[in-house]
Amino acid sequence: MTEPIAGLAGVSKSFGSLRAVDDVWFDVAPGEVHALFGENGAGKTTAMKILAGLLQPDEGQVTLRGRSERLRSRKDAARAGIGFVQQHFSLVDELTCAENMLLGQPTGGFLIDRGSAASRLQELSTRFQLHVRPETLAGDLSMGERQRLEILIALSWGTSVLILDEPTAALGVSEFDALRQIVSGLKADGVAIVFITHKLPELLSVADRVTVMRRGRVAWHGRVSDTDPEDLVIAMVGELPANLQDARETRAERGAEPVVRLVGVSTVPRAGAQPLSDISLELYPREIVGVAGVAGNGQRELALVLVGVWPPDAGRIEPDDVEAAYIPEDRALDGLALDLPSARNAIVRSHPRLASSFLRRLSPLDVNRFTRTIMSSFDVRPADPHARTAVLSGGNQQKLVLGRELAESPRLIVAHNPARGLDLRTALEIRKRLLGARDEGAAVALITPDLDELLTLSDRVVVLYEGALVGDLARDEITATNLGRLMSGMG
Amino acid sequence: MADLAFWSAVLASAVRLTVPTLLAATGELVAQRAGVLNLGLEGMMISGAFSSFAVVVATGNWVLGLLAGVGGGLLIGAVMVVVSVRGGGNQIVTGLALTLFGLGAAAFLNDQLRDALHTVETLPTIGIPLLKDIPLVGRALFEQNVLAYLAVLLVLVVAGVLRWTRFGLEATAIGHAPGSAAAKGVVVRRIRSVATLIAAGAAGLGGAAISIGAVGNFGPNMTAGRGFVAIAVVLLGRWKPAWTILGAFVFGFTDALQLRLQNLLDVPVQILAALPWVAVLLFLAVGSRLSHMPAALGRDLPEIG
Amino acid sequence: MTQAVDPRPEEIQGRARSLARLWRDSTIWALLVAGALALVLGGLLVLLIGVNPLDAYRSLWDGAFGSRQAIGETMLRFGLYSMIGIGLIPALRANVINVGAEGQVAMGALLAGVTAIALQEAPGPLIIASAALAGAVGGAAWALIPALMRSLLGVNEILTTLTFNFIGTFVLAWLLTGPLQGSGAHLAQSDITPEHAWLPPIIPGTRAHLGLILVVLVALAVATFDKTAAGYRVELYGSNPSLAQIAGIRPARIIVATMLVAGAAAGMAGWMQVAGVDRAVYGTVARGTAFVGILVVFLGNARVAGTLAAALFFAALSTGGEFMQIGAGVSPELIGAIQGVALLLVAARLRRRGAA
Repeated sequence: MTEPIAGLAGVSKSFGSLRAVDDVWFDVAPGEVHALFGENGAGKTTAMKILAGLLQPDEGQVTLRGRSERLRSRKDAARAGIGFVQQHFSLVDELTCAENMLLGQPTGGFLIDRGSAASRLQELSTRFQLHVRPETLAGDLSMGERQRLEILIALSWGTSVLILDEPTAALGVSEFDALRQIVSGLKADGVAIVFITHKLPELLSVADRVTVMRRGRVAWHGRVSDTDPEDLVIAMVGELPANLQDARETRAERGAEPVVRLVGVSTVPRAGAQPLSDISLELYPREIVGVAGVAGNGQRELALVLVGVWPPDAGRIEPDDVEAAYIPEDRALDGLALDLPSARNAIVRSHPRLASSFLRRLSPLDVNRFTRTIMSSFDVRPADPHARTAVLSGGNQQKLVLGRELAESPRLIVAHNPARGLDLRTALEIRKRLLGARDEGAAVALITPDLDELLTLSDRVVVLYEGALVGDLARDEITATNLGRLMSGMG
Repeated sequence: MADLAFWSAVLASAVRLTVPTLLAATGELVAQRAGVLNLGLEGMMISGAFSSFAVVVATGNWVLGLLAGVGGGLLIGAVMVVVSVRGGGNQIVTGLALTLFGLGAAAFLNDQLRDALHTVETLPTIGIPLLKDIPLVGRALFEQNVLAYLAVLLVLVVAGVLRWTRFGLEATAIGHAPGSAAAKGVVVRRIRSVATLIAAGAAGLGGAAISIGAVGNFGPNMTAGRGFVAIAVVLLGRWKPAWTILGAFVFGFTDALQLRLQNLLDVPVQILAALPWVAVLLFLAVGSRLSHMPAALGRDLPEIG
Repeated sequence: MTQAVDPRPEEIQGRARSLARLWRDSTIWALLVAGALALVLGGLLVLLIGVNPLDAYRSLWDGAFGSRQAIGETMLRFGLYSMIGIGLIPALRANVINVGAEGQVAMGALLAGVTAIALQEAPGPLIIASAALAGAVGGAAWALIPALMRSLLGVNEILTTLTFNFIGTFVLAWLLTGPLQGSGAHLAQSDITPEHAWLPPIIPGTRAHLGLILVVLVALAVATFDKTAAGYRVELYGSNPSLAQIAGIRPARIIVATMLVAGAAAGMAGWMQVAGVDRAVYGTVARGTAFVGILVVFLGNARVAGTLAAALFFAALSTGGEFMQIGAGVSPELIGAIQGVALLLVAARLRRRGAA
């Protein structure tokens, strides 16, 4: 193996109290593919952003050709020859490929020369066997072609190191083969490639070396040819918590009517979303069904279909009018109206009931009383119905959401990553509430990437991978290996 | 049915009436491409109309007058940049506020300085020999004041800037996908600021075209909604410079008709004047899904760049 | 279940966050500060032309409240401004920005006038009621298409309502110089409406008419609406459209309903002009109404009390302004500039957190 061309030496980075990257050592050499494997939140993207100069490390250094360097900007990264293809493409659909390449170029004067940009694109295109036509509008490209363009744009910045962040996230099966060819071609040309992924099959077919990250630390490192895939899976997932062993009988009323049933549900691809593919799922009263899977495999889409906000494009949902509670992953986006007083957020579900029969008037007295009840019951602080919701801490906001969603005793609860970003105490409170709701007869769909949470709460676990449900494990069938394999596509 | 001389006069008048709108629309085109829906255009126009007029009264020099016109527009434009583009204030409300302010302030100054102001000679007409004698269109196209030719020049310059400069490319990118543009390193706020100032300066010149170009005096409402017409023209022209000329002309033409006729082919002239607006509606209904409309038009983006 | 999902959600969300920030701030302070600052800046302009601002503002006060006549005029304008402004409150809470007051007033006035003339034989109260209703219908109808274009096609309602302003002005001009032109009239105006349907003055000896009672009623209605479940849904949609949709609220309903209310109110303002002041439909009926509603409702923080206060403030400025010319030699056009400054101050407050 040749000398590494770029790497991280003891790099750490924190965001507030979250230690996203913790003492990471990493390197990549010309002509090799080094895969970075792990779940979302493991720190892979953050670590590579540091390598590419998009973020600054708190400790440790970026090394280039053996020397430690400070990369302060995209221009520095370009000079060092490092290109980064982000997970979410940033192309402007209405511009041509050549024009997209011109955007934000570190060099270049007042006038732009489309001709020379097109030739440069053509030149890179031929050299690396990545075919795009410079004149095509980016919006007319297929997903695979868009990726090719993003790769070319990254290469136009620098051709020493190329970092691909979850490149297969938006691709179909046949497009992956094309990607594999691209990667081989780049390898042959001496480019050092970092391939960030959570999908094992793909990793195994392209990578030379692999580093596994978990919770910001390196959990495994080695050559792919010397490694048993099972070890990678276990390294990604870690030890399973002991309370898995608790003997808890499932109280699911399997005999009863399911609260909701999805039959062959599929959705069409929408911008930025993973389409669902032929999902059949039944949720019974008194059970918590954990939906495992790395983020980006269709979780939000499944949640929205279950709650009834997105009608399926194929298949059906029975019945189609379940009273469903929704605890969204992003409460700022679709959980709370942050600029309104807390009381206005508390009554989202309950306001028809609280309104008087004449004129449908919402008496402030009733509203406030109701809000205070929720706040005290769910320990929301400050327990002030008039306070603007935005001043509440994240944990209190989430408790407010939970309180108001459970207020009308829904039969179905869809909780998507309910403890995201919360401190342990609040997270435990929330989990207790979900268990409580389950005990009172509700069906709970717990969609979460957090394996601890999954295993503590779930009566059974299904796994979401590329929009489809793979595997339905009863509680006693769950092992780290099983779960890890399903989540990383090893079926 | 009216004769050749009549229509020749109508066309000449139409072109004259088109010029202010075209100037303002061409500048607004740049702003809208970058996603700025500038409702302050009317205020910028009237500001330019007054400042150019006042300077010509004071100095007798129409070149200085034109510069003052641009300056008057830029003054209002600068406020828009500070409050909205850089400051994050709501674009729509800021624009309307500046229109109210511009109209009020210009009329106020005009009233207060009434004794010092007087009618001035309008800009000299420049006729191109031979070409101006072409029947029907000769006078309209080749015998106009300098601003008419400047307007066409401006359209060409803007077309060039949009097509061949980095600024033009980045502005277009910001208008369609500000998030992507910012991710690729474009400084969104700066580009939008410049685009807004371009619109403001051009609008000021458009105002000058009315005051010192056509009338020789100033009246409190002399822009008569042309700022909003200019916005509609940008829409009708589908954010492309060449089409903007056509769009502006359509409005100019109906204006000219309104001055001379009651009916044309039995259609009342007010209905004719409403037709371009109906076209705007149709275009909005059909066209918002087409690629040309900047998707980020009217969005405040204080969090980016 | 196919709902009309609000298209271009990013735009709506972005606008929602920006406007919602305004509504939650304290109303009275905002109004007082903006009003005071605007007056101060106006005073600076006055100083610029060599007049003592205090003299100017003293004339202003006299012109607005100095005599019964003046008070009547002020109340008259107050009625006009508040009717339009209050009608805009639900729309603005929902983030629907209707700048089409000019067209809606014109169409409301037109329909009201035509109705009154058509019902000449009927008893007075009946004509008044029918004409008022017709005004509301006319204005609402003029807001309908922009409402549908936004809810079904996602078309920005600012652009469509502005367009309809122009179309409305042209239609009115055509009708009033053509088919509906009053006999013996040379200008753009209709026949005189029946005398027994004219609104009597509410302050004797002035032009302030009974229509002011309707303003009070509408204000009460909107204030009540705020407190109902429907008002809550409008507010929720305005603050977070995504959450509202998850809660089962249908955007189309909110958009259309609030636009129609705004249109109806503006239309009734048009009726008030016809029945109470002009006694006929004039081509200039909607002059000066273009943005005054927006001005007043933004200054009033989209609350009834604030909007009424702002309407009174600007009505006083308007009548008082005319007196400033005689009293202090200051052009009444200053008022327009002050309006602009006040709205600018409001716009500057409508910022997302984190702006530089």
